[in-house]
Amino acid sequence: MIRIRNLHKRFGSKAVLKGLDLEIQPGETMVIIGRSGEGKSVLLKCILNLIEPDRGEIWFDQENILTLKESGRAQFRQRCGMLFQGGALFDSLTIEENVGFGLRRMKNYTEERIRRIVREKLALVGLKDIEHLYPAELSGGMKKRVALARAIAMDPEIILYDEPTTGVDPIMADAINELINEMNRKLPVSSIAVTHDMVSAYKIADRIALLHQGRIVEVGTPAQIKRTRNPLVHQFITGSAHGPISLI
Amino acid sequence: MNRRIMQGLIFLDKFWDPGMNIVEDMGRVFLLSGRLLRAIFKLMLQPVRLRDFYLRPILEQMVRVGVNSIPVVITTALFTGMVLAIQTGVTMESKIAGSSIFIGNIVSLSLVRELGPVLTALLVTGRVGSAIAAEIGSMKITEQIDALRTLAAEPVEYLGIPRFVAMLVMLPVLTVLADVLGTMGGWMVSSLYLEISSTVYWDGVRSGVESLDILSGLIKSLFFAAILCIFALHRGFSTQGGAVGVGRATTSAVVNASITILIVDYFLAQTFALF
Repeated sequence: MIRIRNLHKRFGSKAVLKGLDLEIQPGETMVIIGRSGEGKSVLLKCILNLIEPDRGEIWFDQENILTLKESGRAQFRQRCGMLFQGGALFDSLTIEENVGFGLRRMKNYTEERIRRIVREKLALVGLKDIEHLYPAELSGGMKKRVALARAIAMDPEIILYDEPTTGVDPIMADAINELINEMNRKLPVSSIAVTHDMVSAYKIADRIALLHQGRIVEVGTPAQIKRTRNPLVHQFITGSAHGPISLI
Repeated sequence: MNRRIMQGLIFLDKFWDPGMNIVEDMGRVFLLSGRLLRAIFKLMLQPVRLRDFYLRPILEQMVRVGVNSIPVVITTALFTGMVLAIQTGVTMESKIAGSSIFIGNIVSLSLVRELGPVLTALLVTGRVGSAIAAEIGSMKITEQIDALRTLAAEPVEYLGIPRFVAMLVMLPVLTVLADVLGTMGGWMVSSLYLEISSTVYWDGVRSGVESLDILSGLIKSLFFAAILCIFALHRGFSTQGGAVGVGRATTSAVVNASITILIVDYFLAQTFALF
């Protein structure tokens, strides 16, 4: 379980997170929706300790990970897998080396075993016989799937998705959504996804949270969110330019 | 009077922010150097880790930094030696007839002490320093640097160590190559155009260059290697703002490293002059 308390982060004069609170239950898929630039990715990076928040607490099990030393944080990161927005595959390495990167660095496995795990994870995301290719040789959708295979290669307890369906066609987006659902069914993980794609949010979420002006303004199941009376949430999920959320 | 002070303060204020930025930037450069050196030192105590994780990347970078730079270094050094010989030879001969027999002496000393290390460093800055900054900058804006950290690879170590070590090894090697080729270029021009016998030229080289000269040139190139690599890494890691940011990082890596190399060169020359 992850508990985020009163998280603050500002960049220069711009406050991005202003006292954000959120709880993610074990095994749950939490989808955080919000407009671009609202700090959704920043939140994910705070959880992973890639960005140091100014204030607040992030509890995982019984530990506040923000008080951990660097070695402890690195250990925590190993329990997480992150799917970056653009995939963030290492373009100087082959697909096989990308997916096996963490395994080779952290586990004392034989080369044969690592290759087997890589093949398994690629099969899990519906890919095979592409191990020897380089990321530049793949399509956008395939890159996302390879990136997902890399994120789950170390059998993480938490998977973080940054805009999993952005930049791929609707059919591939749906395939990725199904893949995420499949991951959550097959693996004992908690997931946090940030997106502004409502189709995706409804499809993968156990609960949805709206991030607006640095805070979570509403949390609920997809059904609850659809029935909401909160005008902010209503405007967002219906995708209207008119309402309490101003464009500028 | 009061107005004067006010104007002075306003004037100062204009330079305050850029000034502080430079100070902050220098601080970051020193921090990065410290982290890198500590990481390398730690690594030397773990030979197994060194072999498993870093041997291949270091060799790859050595090819990139060193082997692939050979054609550029050879061409530049050869023509620099040739130009040195013709300019000094003709000038000396026109002032004092017969004095061009010292040409070997002058060409080789200039190359070994100054032009070899400095020109090689500037060439490698342009060729490799820019590439390092651009590569790491692109990795930064495509979140590959973040991805490295989530996969338990500290980017400064994973990307920095191979490049830094390769640079420290290869730049002195390239410098020696430049020294040799430059001296040969000088010899070609001296014997073909200035009509100085090869024996006279090479006697000049032998009597002119002492081991301390070669050593000082190599020490210089070690300093330059560290400077150009650190600047390139620093600019790469602090890249922000898309493709424009990568361009900016590359430019400032090359410009800052080149200027710093030239400034440090003077102070090193002054230090070596004491011996």
